[in-house]
Amino acid sequence: MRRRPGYRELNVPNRAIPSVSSDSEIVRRSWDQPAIFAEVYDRHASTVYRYAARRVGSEAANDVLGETFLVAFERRTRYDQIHESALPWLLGIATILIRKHRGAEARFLRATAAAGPAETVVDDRDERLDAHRAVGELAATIRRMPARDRDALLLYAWADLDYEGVAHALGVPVGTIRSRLNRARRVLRQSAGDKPAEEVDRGRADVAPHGA
Amino acid sequence: MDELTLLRTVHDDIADPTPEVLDQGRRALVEHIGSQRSRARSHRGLKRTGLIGGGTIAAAAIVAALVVTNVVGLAGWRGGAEPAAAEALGDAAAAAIKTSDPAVGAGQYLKVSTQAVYSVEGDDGTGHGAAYLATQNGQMYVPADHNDEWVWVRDPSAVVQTFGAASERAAATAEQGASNAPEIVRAAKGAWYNGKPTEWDFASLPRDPQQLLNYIYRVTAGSGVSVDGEALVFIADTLRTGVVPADLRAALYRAAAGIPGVTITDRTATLDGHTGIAFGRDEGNGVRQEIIIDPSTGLLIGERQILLRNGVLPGVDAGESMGWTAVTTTVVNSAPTGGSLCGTGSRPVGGAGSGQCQG
Repeated sequence: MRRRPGYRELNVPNRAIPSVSSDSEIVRRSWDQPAIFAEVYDRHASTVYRYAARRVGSEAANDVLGETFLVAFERRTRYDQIHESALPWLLGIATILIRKHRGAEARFLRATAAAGPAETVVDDRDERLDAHRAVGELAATIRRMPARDRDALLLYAWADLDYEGVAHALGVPVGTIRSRLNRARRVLRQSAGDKPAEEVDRGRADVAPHGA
Repeated sequence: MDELTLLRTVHDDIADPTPEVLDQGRRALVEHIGSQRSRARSHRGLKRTGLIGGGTIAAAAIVAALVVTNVVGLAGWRGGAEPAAAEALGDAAAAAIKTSDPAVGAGQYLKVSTQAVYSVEGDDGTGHGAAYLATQNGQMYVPADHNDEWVWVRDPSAVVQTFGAASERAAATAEQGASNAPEIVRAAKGAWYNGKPTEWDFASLPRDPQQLLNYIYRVTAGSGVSVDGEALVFIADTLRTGVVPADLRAALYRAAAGIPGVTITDRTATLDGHTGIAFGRDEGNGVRQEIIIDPSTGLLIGERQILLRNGVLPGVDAGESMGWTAVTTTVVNSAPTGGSLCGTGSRPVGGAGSGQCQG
């Protein structure tokens, strides 16, 4: 069942007021009524910005935010309607665009390594020094990681997507994501000096092919 | 602290985007959408009609290309509604000004009752398209203080009209398993379904008809079939909220009188038992948007869309209405109890105001 393209939500005089539709419904309706697409922006712009700003800093994030939605609008007819939330799709587009800002990302991570953790994380002085070192190593390791592992890791840890969400964002099977995340986490642990043997996702077979 | 927990603390102090950053991104998107639309439309239009000055095609391009203000815009210099329609709209505006708005006292609610019918397109089970009409009625209780809790009773949808056997089958299929209990949504500030507050920013809209119409052209640029058609749709959408103050209602009627192509389409149009004058505009796409006004009080009776060609909806003939809304407002002392922010069977997720419910 679908409503006529001409159908308009009731009680929505101000077009900025979100209707009760799912993202996928709005994207579908935007085929005929492009202006509706602005609602996708209203719902997700802040999240996309925060993810981008965490990776490349606020200045480059402004560009990534703007470009993400222009690209998404152009690709709206190719959006897979199976996914109710458009957020993984948008974060996937943002991730590709972030690759154009690799320089900014590397600079931001170097600055992080130098500055250490945010004040609120630890108050004890010794712990603080440890944490400072640990964050520095973490930032350096992330910077040296292959882009595909870094993308999967940061979509998972910073954009709060689950495995399926990361898979949707990057357009690869869930098994591949599991493999990339395991590898990324192993590398992080090794760089922190922990024993590499212990996998955190115990009992989960790594089904992805090598090199995934 | 394991590596993931530590990683999650990194850059966690990143600031939210400022309103300026969000506005900038949104403006870029809306402009982009607008430019795409006007280009596509110009190409189509030029092929069909040749180059015509002053038509809606040129107007669409102008709206998208220029940053118009409320003072300098599309209104005024391209003519206006047909003289008889302009005169009747002027009379309705004069009557609207004289009709006082219902006063909502402290603790009271403005009850906006909406009888709405819309068309649903589906499949009759044998792969053939079919359409039928169904209701979407509701009563919204708007508190005197908009910061208080609003209540919205949404009646279950019911089939009101079918068009032949295929249409009946499609309607029967669709109604299987449909809920038959009303849904009650309650939300402070009218932030329905964990969304953003309902804000009717009527105070900031210009009361000068020409400035108001320019404003409407500006905010609707890029939507709809034509700039003039979409302006009339905006006016219908705004009026059908049922909460437009009398002075703005009058200004909206006068703005409608400034839209080229608006005519009186029916002097005795009846909607939900009330008769008034219907004003409409033929969009050339087989659908005419109309607003229906009671000429004696200047009150809006409702709005409707009339089909002008056979088959715009599968199996439905010209002359039928493909949807309508009738609105009445009253002041009441109490609102129904029960219900929740996300209505029946859902709960808010993703934080307050995320626009998301799940269940």
